[in-house]
Amino acid sequence: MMNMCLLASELTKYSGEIGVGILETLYMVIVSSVLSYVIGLPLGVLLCVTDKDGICPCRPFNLIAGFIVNFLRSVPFIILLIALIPFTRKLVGTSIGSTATIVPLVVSAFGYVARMVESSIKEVDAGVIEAAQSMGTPTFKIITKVLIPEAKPSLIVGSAITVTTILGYTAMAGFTGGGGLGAIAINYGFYRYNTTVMFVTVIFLVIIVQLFQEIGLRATRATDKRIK
Amino acid sequence: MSIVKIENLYKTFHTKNGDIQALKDINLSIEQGDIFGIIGLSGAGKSTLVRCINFLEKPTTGRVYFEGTDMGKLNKKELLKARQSIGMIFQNFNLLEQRNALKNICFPLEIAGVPKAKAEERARELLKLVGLEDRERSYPSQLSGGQKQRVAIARALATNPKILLCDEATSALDPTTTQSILSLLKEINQKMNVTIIIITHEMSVVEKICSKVAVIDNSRIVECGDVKEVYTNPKSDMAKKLIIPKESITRTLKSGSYFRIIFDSHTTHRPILSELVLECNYPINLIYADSIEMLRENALGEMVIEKTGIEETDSKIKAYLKRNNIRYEEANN
Repeated sequence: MMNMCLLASELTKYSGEIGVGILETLYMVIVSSVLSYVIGLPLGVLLCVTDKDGICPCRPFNLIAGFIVNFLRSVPFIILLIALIPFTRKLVGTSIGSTATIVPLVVSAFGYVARMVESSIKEVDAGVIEAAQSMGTPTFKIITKVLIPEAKPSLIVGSAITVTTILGYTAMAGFTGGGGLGAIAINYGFYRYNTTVMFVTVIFLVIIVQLFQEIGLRATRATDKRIK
Repeated sequence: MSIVKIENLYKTFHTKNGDIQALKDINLSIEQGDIFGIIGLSGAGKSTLVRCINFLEKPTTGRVYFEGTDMGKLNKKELLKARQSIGMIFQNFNLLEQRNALKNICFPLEIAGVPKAKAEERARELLKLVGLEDRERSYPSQLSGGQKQRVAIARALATNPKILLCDEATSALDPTTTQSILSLLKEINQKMNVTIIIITHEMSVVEKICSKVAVIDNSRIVECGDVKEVYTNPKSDMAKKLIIPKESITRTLKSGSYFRIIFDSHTTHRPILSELVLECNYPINLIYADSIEMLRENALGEMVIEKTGIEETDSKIKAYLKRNNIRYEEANN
């Protein structure tokens, strides 16, 4: 009973801060996810089609792009976060706050997105691609009319996973002055030993993850014509 | 003029484990309106050969002419355009899983730049042709194998191709469905005057609808001609193997020696077996008999009878067959 009272009073005390945290987190996650896909989706498609078994093999491009993606993906996010501070400052004017955090988030996530997209596209049946080629479909139209539409359910599942990963990264950004729920959890839980607030933020993080997963799952189910 | 002409075609695949010669010295001429069968065992190179016709596989050397045009001399854009005149269907149907039947048939029309309304109108016509007018909103996952192949056929015909390539199109289907798909192909050949090239490993498919056949063995064409001719008088070992697959039946024979008697239009209605018994005055063992439906020919059939083992009787049988102009083959063991 005591605990419940304490929790309730803590919640009212910090509710404003947590509310702002939720919005900041959503802002960072959504904007970085969108930007990561703007870069990662075409890159992933290119990685797939320029592969030696792809529809438009181009070894030099595939090697270089593959190397960049692998390089970015090998750098731990926390290191990238710090290493990119000068670059972020140049781009956004500051390295602190939610908007600034988007820069390292995108740099780190687009390679991840590219690989996710690549593996989704690779799942498309080679026979279907061959059929499209037999009908005289140019390479670009194979991408837009066959590869992406056929891989759509898998791409949506991938995006739900990507969003969850980015959400996890936003929490780390709290260490270098990023905003959001992660920063609140770190500041109260780690620096001030206020486990109640940390506990509450974690609950909200879990809810947000569940939300994105559920949206992704429903979207996949609604678009996939293979199961019915 | 032949609609498809293949000259001295070779195809070599370079793999890690060395070069593989998939096709050697292929020469073929396919006439407008034919239903041309290419038969061989798996790995013989028949799928590669059919892909060389629409240049999904580039021949290593040799020429492929489609309506007199050298396919190898076309640039990329011209090749894509030419492919719109060459429909193709596959063993695994290869429909777009995320598009319904109607939209699948619209696909080649979209590529050819046909306006949406017109494309859908054409797609509905074709659905009717293949007998699926009530399934236009169905997705491939909701269709049976035979229905999927019908959609695939409609899709391949959407752009009014001159030829239709069928790569093992019935191999994934049950016998009844196979028959109905073959009948559909025959109908398309006659109604729309589309030349059809069929790749298969089943002699029954060739027997049912093909007018000409090429037998491919070990990367080479070993025999080629009218189905009737090849069927009644197979010359190559592979043709014999494919046409007389009754090895399992004949193997059970004590002597292993038999006559294979082939009927054609003027002998099908004669009681040959009874006549033979009367002629030789000896009981004759019938091993196997079958009749084959042919496209433009009358009924054709075959019968395998065991040799009696008595020289005199066997020569009597031969004499009777020769006298009556009945084709036969002997197999001795």
